[in-house]
Amino acid sequence: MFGETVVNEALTNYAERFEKLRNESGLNVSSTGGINSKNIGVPIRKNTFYGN
Amino acid sequence: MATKIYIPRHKGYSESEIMNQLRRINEIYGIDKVKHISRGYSCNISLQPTDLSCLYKVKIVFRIGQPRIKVFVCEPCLRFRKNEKMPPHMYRDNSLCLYYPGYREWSKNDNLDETIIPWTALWLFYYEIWEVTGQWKGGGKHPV
Repeated sequence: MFGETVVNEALTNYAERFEKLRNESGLNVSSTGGINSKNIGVPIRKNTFYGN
Repeated sequence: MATKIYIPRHKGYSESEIMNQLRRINEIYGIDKVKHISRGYSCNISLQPTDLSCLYKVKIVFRIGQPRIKVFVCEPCLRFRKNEKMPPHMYRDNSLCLYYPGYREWSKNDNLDETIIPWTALWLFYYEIWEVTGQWKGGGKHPV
């Protein structure tokens, strides 16, 4: 409906907003595993994904 | 004369430590299933990183005497993009690489409900973006 480029761009922007919040320690995870910036649940500690 | 006390650097999980971790995980996230496996335990939990995500069934494996845990995504099957062997930041046994050991971001004394499980939810979020766009936006380190 919207085309691959538009979807990719929207998702990339969405992920980058999340990443910014993550770097500022502004993300939490709720009891269902939902990631949020509303201070609901456990704060997400800094981590570095590793591996190939 | 001073006596040297030997403290093992990589002392593995005891059964009671695993039970304590499982209790905490169950209190916060709810465990779907716990299984006694060879020299350890596995537990299954469900995670949904965003409202639009599917519900992922994740398995965490503890081995008595080992200082590490393994995390696997059981359902749905992770999809590989064309020309990609596997999603980024996974070990060859298909477990997730959630932290870089060199940065000491995690040790077995950390609570999994505050570390490994939130990082798993994050990994799933970035995996979903990667699956569509081909870009891993969660950063990380690659072995050299």
